[in-house]
Amino acid sequence: MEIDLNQPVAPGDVHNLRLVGVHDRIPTTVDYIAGENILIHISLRPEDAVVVVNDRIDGIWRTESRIELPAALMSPVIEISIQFDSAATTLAFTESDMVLFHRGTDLADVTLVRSTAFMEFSSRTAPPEPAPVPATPAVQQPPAANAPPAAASTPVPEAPRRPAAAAKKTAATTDAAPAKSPTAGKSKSDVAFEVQPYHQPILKVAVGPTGTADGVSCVVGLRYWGANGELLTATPHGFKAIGSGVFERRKPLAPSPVGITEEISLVPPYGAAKGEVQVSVVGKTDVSLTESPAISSVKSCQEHAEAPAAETSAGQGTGGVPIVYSTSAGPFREDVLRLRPHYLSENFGKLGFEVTYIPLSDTIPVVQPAPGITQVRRSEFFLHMQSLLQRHVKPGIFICSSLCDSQTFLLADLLKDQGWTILYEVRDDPGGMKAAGAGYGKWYNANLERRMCRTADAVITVSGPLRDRAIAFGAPEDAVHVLPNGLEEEAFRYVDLNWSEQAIEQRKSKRVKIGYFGHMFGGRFDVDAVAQAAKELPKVKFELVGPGLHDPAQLALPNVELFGQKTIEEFYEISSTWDVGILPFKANSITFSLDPIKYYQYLAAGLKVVHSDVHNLRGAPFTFLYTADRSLKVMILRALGTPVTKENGREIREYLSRTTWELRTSETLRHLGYGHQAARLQA
Amino acid sequence: MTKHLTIYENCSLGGIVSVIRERMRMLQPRGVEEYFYFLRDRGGVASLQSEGARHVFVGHLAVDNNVYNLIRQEGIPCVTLFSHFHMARNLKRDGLKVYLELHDCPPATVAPVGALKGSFDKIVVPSAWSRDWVHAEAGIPFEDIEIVPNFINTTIFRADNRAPLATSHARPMLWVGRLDERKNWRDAVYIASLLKKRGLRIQPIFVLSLRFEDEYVHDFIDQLALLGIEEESKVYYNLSQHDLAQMMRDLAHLGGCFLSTARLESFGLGIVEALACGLPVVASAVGAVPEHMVHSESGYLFPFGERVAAADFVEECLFVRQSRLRVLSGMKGLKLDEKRAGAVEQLYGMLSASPAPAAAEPQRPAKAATVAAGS
Repeated sequence: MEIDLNQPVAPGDVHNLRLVGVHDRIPTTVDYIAGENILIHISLRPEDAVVVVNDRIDGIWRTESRIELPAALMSPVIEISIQFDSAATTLAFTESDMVLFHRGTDLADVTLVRSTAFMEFSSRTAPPEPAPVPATPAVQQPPAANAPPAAASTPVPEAPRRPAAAAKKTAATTDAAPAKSPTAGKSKSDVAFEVQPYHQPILKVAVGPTGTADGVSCVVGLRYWGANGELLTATPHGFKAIGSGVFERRKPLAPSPVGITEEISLVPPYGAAKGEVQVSVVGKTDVSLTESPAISSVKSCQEHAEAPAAETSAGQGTGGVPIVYSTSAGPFREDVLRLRPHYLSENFGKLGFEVTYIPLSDTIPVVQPAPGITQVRRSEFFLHMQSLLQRHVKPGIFICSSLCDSQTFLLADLLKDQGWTILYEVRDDPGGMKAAGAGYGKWYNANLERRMCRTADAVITVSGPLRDRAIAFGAPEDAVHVLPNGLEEEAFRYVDLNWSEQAIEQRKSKRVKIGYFGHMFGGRFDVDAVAQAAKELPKVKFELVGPGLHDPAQLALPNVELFGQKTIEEFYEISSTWDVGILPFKANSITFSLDPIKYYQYLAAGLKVVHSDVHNLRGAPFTFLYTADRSLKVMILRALGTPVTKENGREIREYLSRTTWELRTSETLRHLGYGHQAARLQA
Repeated sequence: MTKHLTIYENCSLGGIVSVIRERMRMLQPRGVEEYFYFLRDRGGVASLQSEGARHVFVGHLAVDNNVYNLIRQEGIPCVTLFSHFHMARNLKRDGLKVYLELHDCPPATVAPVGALKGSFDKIVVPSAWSRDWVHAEAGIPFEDIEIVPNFINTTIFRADNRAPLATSHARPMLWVGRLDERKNWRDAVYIASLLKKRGLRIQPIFVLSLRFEDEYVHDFIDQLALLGIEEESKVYYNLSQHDLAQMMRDLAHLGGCFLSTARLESFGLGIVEALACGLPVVASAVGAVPEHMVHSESGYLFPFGERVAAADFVEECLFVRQSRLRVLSGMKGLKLDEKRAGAVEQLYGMLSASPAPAAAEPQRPAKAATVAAGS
């Protein structure tokens, strides 16, 4: 363990050291270090019952002093007091056991004290007092062989001052004078704790602002004791031994202008019953703990005492046909926009299917977000499915929704053998998503997708290009169906509101803005085209709603407003002043083949739609296609200048009524051979 | 009542856990109260419970101290370590009876066990080959090594003696194991591709376990595709014992075979399971594999890594009727029930015996290690 000294050692200084973890056989050392040179070396040797002190001048060891270590002090914890004077140093263990040794070394350059044991340190400047005569006189040993004779015969110039007993306090106390604190920019705190059975202690450390400078570290000293009070010597995971039974971990802290909180696992070794940590922060800048370190515990072991009772969650045979929906979409959550898997799952649930919904993410706020739906974390998906298949539960439907991952591959053949129906739902081009750097692209492997295309009983794609792709990947032609996205039931009140005759008459005065709603993922969203159009149309107001914009500075224009993530209800509210909704996608395989749900939502919001070339939108109602020779600006202007008629309103209402999620659900079930349930939904 | 704790890394369905499960099934009715500590559940906890396990603990944090608390609270006197051998020192110091079981025999696993001399009562291995290997690699005296053969549940793994199907269907070739290099799945894929190139109608079936992460699975599927056998291959993961046994019987009925390409086998449990189900085995002659069968009499053995030879034997097994009948006939003398009865008695005796005292700490030379740097 090392302690930095930020001021040189001066005559009159007293250093109080408390060494913890002094080994009974291996020497424990304390070194005063200047740069890379050890200037004073103190070696405690309980096995020989001596303390040996050496000091060094100009790289040569000069004197060696020895004292018998009192038997009473042969313990894992030893307190030492060292008093420095101009030419001699007194080392004291108690007021009566002292060693005096001559010191020819200039200690002004000492910057560091290092010990092989865990060390608590404090310093003070002792007031001048008469020199005592040591009760146990120091034994002057012959000088080292290479020392000049003069050094060995140098007389002791003066007796040392006796260190005051009051100086024997640890750094955790506040006795150090401000001018001589161990290190500026460092703070320490001790916490003792009990180890609960089957729990792992976690240390929480809150540190104040570390500025932008690197090099700030949290230093954690750790000791554990057994049930009988014996110090444990096994090294806790992540720590290194710095003495017998004393361990240390240095965790570099990331620069932070607002402070940082770190959690450090204090893995208890075999037999640990109690522990103690000492926390300090060291670094180039003044940093401190903003609150006392706290110890919490996490359960480290789960007992499975009884065989699981008959489960009642999805797929356990309580009545409904199980559907397992494994998807690249997010969980059911208030702040996550719903996608096709959410809408279909809801409708499956309404029809009495028992849906197990497995989102991409592990963050699941609600286990049962809607009737008939149970959310399972992705990390639990594989075990959940294995358990299901081993018990040969009633076979149902397995939906692989744009996520042909390794685990699905490993399950697929057994699912088929056990009579499950497998649907591969292709919502976008997963190869393109991987190429564009989408987070879940790491799971993608073209051979896994090929296998899924051949294994699935049905493949449903949202667009024609994706259908062609699935067939090229080996799916039988008659098993592949195109079923685009749809519009949620709740949106139809906005359809009625925005496409009423009254709304159409009033829209010219109310609707003047251009808007975008949705994720601004860099693989799809063409931020350059939007920025260009906004620059070229300075009098047109652009409002963009959604997360994911990589560099907001690109759209830092006076006529562009960024709203960030909003709910779908907020979108309908905000878009009430928009005339045109844009779908400015980059030209690539992802965007050409997708079917944007926001197109249906734009229509429900009463918007004309200006879009890049998306296969499904070619010829779709109320769309304006922009291309290389007809720029986004040109088509926005054209859309703004196109009047909306009552005939348009009728056409849109008619179109949207054929795109509901209920109909999509019904079609999906029909393709999977569940026609009677589909008929119930349509009825 | 003897309490006994078993500690192992992963609780999966097959491999060592199936050995552990079968032992529990046999020993618990004889008064051995079995406790289990696993670091992770890989789908095996439920199967253990369904076979009667009452105390299964799972946790990968603070393992050593959890084991300490478990032993103290439950008063467990006897521990078998299938992994985490370092715990032996503490357990022995606490006066427990400690067995180390070595079922996985790479030198990196075996050699460090030599440093634990005095901290265990016996090292348990499943075969004579393993005993010799542990003796040679770790320097453990023969008298400290106990051979306890693995045994299988013969009510699950049994032949149904259906008449072989005589149609011209594709002949199945089953490979069971982890996606790691020691099980050597690459040779199995290559052998399947060789047979396909010879124009033979075979269906490779891979039953995988443990490894399911992308890095392994992508490699595997890419290799299947590269060698042109992805379409006809079937792939399963972590099948239950019942499902695997049923599959083996079905494949025997379809005239299939079991292929083992492992680099090292301390016992060859999958081979014994296949033999018990009447499925002929073509295996690399490594480790303890030759203890279970004789080449050309009760199975087919090839030198490790000889893929063409392996393909030849698979072809012979699947398509040369006389050879297959000869081997099927030779497989009938397995005597699995007898071997199991002997192993159960052996285990019961070990768990009931009094613990050997911990070896005394070696004397330190006087004044050793007392010179500090610079002193």
